[in-house]
Amino acid sequence: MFETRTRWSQLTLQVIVTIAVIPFLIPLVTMVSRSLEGRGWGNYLAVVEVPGFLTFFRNSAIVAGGSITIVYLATMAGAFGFSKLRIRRKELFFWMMMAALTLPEVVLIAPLYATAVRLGMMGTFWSVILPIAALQVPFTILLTRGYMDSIPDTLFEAARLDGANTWRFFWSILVPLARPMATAILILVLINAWNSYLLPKVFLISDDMGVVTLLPEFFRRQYNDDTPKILAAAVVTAIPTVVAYIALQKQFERGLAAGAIK
Amino acid sequence: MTHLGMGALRTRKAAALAAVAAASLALAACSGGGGSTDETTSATTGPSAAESGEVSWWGWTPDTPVAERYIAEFNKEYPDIKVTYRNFENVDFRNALAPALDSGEGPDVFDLSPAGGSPDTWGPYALDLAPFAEEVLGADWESKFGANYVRQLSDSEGRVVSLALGGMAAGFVWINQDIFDEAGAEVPTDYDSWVAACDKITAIGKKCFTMGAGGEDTFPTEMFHSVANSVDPAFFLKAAVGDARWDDPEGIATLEIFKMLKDDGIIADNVLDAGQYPLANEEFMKGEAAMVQMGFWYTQYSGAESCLSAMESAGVSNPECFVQLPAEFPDVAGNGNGSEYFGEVDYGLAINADSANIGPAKTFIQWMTMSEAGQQNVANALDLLPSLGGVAPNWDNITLVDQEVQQPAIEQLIDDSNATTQSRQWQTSEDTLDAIVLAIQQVFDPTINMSIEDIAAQLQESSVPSTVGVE
Amino acid sequence: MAILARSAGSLNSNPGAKRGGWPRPGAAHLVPGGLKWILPGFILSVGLIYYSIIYSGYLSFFDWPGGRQEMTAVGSANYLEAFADPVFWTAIRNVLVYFVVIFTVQVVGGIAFAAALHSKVYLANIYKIIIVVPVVVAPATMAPAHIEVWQTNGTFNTILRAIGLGAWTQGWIGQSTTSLLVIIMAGCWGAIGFGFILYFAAIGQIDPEIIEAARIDGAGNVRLLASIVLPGVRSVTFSLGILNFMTALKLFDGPWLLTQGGPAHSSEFLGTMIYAETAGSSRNLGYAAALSIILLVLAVGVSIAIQMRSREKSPTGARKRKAKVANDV
Repeated sequence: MFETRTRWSQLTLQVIVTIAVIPFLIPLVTMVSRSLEGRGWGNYLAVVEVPGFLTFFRNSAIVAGGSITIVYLATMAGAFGFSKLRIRRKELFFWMMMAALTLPEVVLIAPLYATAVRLGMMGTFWSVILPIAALQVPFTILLTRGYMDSIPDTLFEAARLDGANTWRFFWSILVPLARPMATAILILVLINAWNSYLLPKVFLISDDMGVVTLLPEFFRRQYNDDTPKILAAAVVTAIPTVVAYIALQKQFERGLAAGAIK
Repeated sequence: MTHLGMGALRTRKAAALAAVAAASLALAACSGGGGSTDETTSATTGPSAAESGEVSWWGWTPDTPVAERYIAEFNKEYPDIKVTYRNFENVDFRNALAPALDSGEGPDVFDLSPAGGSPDTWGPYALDLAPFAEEVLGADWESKFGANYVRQLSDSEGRVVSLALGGMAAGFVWINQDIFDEAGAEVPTDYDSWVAACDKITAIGKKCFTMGAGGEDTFPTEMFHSVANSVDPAFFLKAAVGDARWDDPEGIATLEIFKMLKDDGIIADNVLDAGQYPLANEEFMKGEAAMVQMGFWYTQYSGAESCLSAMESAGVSNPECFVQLPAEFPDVAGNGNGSEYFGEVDYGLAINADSANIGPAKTFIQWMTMSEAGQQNVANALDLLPSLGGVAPNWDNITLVDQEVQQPAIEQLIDDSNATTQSRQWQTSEDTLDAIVLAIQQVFDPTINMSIEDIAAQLQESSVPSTVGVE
Repeated sequence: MAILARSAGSLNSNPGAKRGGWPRPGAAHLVPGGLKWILPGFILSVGLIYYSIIYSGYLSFFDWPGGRQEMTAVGSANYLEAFADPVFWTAIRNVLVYFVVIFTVQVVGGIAFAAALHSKVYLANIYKIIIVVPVVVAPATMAPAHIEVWQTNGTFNTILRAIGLGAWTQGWIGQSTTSLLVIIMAGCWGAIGFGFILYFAAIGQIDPEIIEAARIDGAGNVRLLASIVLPGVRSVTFSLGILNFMTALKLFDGPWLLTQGGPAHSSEFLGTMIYAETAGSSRNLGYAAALSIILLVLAVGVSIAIQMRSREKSPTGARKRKAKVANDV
């Protein structure tokens, strides 16, 4: 993109980018170095030794998996509908959905609690999966709709002419085409579900249903937080999401970009 | 066109369905969560104490390991009652407890403190425990508890909604004797000697007094209370209930002392970086600071083991414990008033009136709050003052960093703490506490140029006089 | 085929196409019956969340300390209290400042890094990871690290002293004039990576021929950015605008964990005000609900305004092409 014909300009660019990137490292380095204070690697040992450590990861995986599945299905169908199909007052529906994005989580707790009780969801993972999914869906539909807009409508017509009905078109053509975007959504929902703290804290009360974000809480005392261990727990919690990002990095970029531009 | 027609019909139907669904859910919730005071104010005490069953206990305190120790001891006497404790951060506790209690999914036993009008907030969910206490301790049961504890845990209708587990006192400071020895400094007793001590301490490269007043924590109000007590012992509580104004001369004098403390370097520049926890605690525990103002709960760090883990948590590798001693708050106003301690019940245990396990819950509470065995645990932890009178720590079981020096000092502290006559937060409304913190921040912030009079005036305006405990 | 085209043509007079929202170029292709497709997503988000919105709306007309205490009807007192509260206006100011700065930094930083990493730079993949990891890590876990950086004896002041700017050191977190700055910097840390991802991919979609043509015409780096890249990624920019505004309005984690809205309410946000009102022990849930409703109205109002403005900017209000080709310049 930038012209770097001369060695000099190439070097300048390299140096500028390197310097620009350093500030991003500082908090990360601080975090890791503090997590090694006190007992050093013993902090990480303490984190892994928390009873139910592996269960927390399993539960977070359940919550993430459930949210991802629901969001994926609702988003693909919804974006398809908004992008390719005709609906009366489509934009009204769309903006009603976007409005759902605006509520802060803490305001949702009390009404969600009452709903969960009445629907008999208390004590199940659904009480957390459904709200998380509900909060993601407007944004993911926003992105995916844009992505699907960029898939030519002529494709749709051609398929119709070939005898495919709407469902066939959706399932056999659009979904495979939207795979990059689906990957992007997968990552986004994974990050949000994995990092979700308040909802699991309030709804997943029983001991064996805790999620990884509750791990740092083991090291909070009423007064005297064990900060190095809290940070160690935070690092351990963050690792899966970072690994997932790196692994799916290419897909992510492709998917999001295609969605964001027209 | 049929397509158009059906499409439109479906749209309208769907929209109507959604609206009805939302409305019915809303109505359902309103009836559930609305403010009708149910008939839980029954005079009956429910089933009597049972010897077996399950009890769930929620609280912001104690820490989980401590709670588990309590439960293990409890199970020695009552092996057939299974108690599970769940710990919450202070703020999460309120967020989680209310909806849980409302929907009938709440715990059997929960913490209830005297601060911020909690007895009235949570009282409607709790059983009146007066009859039960009388059953266990006899007709003069009220006097068996620490002074005023019962009153502090009763709601405005006089129902005893929670039984005291332990009390708290504050208004003193803790010093690192090792630093004082190294610096050759003397424990300060008034403003000038404080300045002198600080000079010697900073000369050896240590911080004199550490304090954190940033954020929303109400720790700074303890310092305010202490300084106010040295100006005029009656002022703070009078202003808290509206019998005096915060911008009266005493209030202004208090704020001016704060300013002096900062200007003279006794209070450091980084005071607003964060709250007392973690800032002050870490600096003290790392051995970087010679003095800190903390309440009775800090006594536990005189213990040889707790001191080590506290230092490790503060980030010290290979910690070596220092000798921690309590000291009176210096008489900074110089009026000869000293600075009186203040204290009240810290928290008690309440029984959820809707619980299905009231029987075993009663047994648990009885053991924790009204039996010597349970209260001995509390005394030995050196974290709370036992609520049941006459229970002292069992020194044979407690190892201090320096037994000779610390034990008598702590015993003295316990006696003084049990003798407090001023309450701590019972009679100060949450709004007033927040306003005091704000005022202190305004005094400390170098970029705010308000005069002390203006700060005091704003404090008076934002404060709300408490009606708790006022005849 | 002709029949199809004609009936599709009559569908073209669908009034929905011209009303607010993304106009559909040539509605000929649209097949009716789309409602059942959007219903699951719609019911999930609207049903679950709207109930909370309606509940909040209802609640905002009461004073209610929560639990089983009385709810007292107070009409619009909560709203009036909000508008009369100077802390409320401080929060609004902070939200706006946060939005403007983060949005600008995200766009400028995102495009700059994206353009740079599209050029010949060694170790590009490592840089990409460093920039993006902040997006992935939960804000709650980073708070202690940020505090370490910005506290009076923290990393930033140490660096200032090291490069000779010792006179600028101050208690960044603990001063009401700079507390907002700290929150904004912590926010930028994660925002740039997010912008980078979008812009990196968007720039990758720009037709290289156009860039070649511009180069041949003698366009320098800056000219290239301004006249080709910027317009080419316009839709990303507007999506980010809407998203950032909503985020700023709701913002809670960062400010709460770093400063809790202090000192002296100088870094208060709507999100922190609502949280404090819901979670404090002397709380008024009705007031919290009123603040939430105000937030909602602001969010929807401004988003629609941004959306309309974005449509006005396009030449005929309709997108001409759907293929992945760069805009005409």
